[in-house]
Amino acid sequence: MTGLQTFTQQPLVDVVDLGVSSGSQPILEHISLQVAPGDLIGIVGPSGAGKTTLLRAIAGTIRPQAGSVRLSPDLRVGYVPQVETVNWNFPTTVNECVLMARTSRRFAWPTKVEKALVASVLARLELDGLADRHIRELSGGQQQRVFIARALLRSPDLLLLDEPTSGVDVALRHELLHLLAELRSDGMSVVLTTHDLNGVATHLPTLACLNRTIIACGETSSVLTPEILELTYGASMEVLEHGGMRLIVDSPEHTHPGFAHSVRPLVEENQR
Amino acid sequence: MIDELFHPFAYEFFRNGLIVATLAGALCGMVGVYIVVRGMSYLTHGLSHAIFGGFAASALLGVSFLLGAGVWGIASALAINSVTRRRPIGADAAIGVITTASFAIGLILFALFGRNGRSFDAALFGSILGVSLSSVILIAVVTVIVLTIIVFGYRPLLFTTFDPEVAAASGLRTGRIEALLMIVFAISILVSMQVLGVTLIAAALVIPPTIARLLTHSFPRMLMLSSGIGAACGFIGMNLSYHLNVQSGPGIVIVAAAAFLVVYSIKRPSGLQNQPA
Repeated sequence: MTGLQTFTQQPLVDVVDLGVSSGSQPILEHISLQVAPGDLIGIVGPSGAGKTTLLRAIAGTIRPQAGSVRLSPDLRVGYVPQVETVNWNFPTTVNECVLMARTSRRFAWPTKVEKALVASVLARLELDGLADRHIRELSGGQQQRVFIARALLRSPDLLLLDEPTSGVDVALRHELLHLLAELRSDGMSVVLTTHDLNGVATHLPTLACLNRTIIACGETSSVLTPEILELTYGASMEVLEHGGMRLIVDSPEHTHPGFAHSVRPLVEENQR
Repeated sequence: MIDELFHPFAYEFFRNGLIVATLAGALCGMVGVYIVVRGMSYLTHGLSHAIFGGFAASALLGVSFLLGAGVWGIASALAINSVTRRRPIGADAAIGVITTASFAIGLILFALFGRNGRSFDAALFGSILGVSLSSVILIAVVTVIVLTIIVFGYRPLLFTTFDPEVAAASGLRTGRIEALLMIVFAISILVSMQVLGVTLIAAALVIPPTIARLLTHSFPRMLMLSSGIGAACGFIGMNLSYHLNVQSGPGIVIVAAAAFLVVYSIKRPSGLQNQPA
């Protein structure tokens, strides 16, 4: 479905005609999607579109009713859950939290190699010095990064993040996007879900627009069109360009005239 | 005075009872951590009451208590686990139905066929009378097995307990791990029932981990503290029950409850609040 990419090597993830339902209620239908090494893909769509379900299906925690999710052999997956789903009362320090995901070893106590690995991952995510703190005692951005650190400690080939920017302010959002770009340049593939079109989606190279099925998937510039967005969100949206940046606004008929002068609707430009 | 304190140690049944109570306290304190951190305390009531049904049935059928109640308890535990995972109805409600029905069956069986009032009381409230050497060996073996499972499966157990979804995404077979935990809970309750009793065993599973949680925000430290607190409550409570001439279950629970009150009144836990940060 990505279409735009030509794969020189096997995709890491190959989702073929995937269908997931809850009882008689379909959640996902006819989903086909590929994730190649080095991809950074954002899954966007309205609430209830099935974004988290698709992510979980890729992670293999949901058994599909139709189609298949094929992962390349020995693929290591790191999964970062929505912070809203974390049990913040659970007794775990930062150090214990990141270590639990290294299940290649089963004992509580880490090896010297693991200690060094934890120290380097925590330092990379600017969490050094917080190893013995309880996860609740951290700021929102630090809490988010603990769970990214936990996923990174598995040295994943594919990082899946569920709404990593929800409840995060602008500076932290930028930090996170930088980090993801960095991880991608290290050769990691990243797939994330987001409801934030302007803050996150427009900054990603590849987007999949999801509403029970994939409406469109490809390069962000080709996917973020009013037609595709309307199909995805069921609401009229305008894509504007301002200083080389894309802006998505809903209810364009209510756009303030002054604002409309300073930004040129992209569709009009394309039509010229 | 000192002589009076050591007086019961002269009796073999008391020494056996004391060892069983101390080990049961440590065992329940240890496995209780995995129950309390998930907010599943209601499970302890459910499971112990379900096992009571098996206890009564095995008494009626004349089969070994361990065999009857063991099979019944493990079956109930796996049924509860399956209900909790699928959630067609509220898990707590389903557990309430399954386990109270099982308890009711036990009560009816005792009422219709039970001739021995003492064994009925012992099942409900715990007793140290008749704690034999084989009981001591049994609980020691179970404690060692459970400790081995926790040490050798520490990270998978912790990951599954804290974050089952992500643990599954990371390749752990969380269904099996949760089933294993349920079997561990059932067997721990089973071997501790003799001294603690059905109605009070939940306290031994819930109070020591709760005290430990007030004292630490680290999971491995909570495990060790809770086991130690459980053992101490078992030891002190058993002595208390002898001197006050009450059943062992209430003796142990009252010590644990008092310890909770003391710790709760002097200690504000870190990282433990009602509202998310």
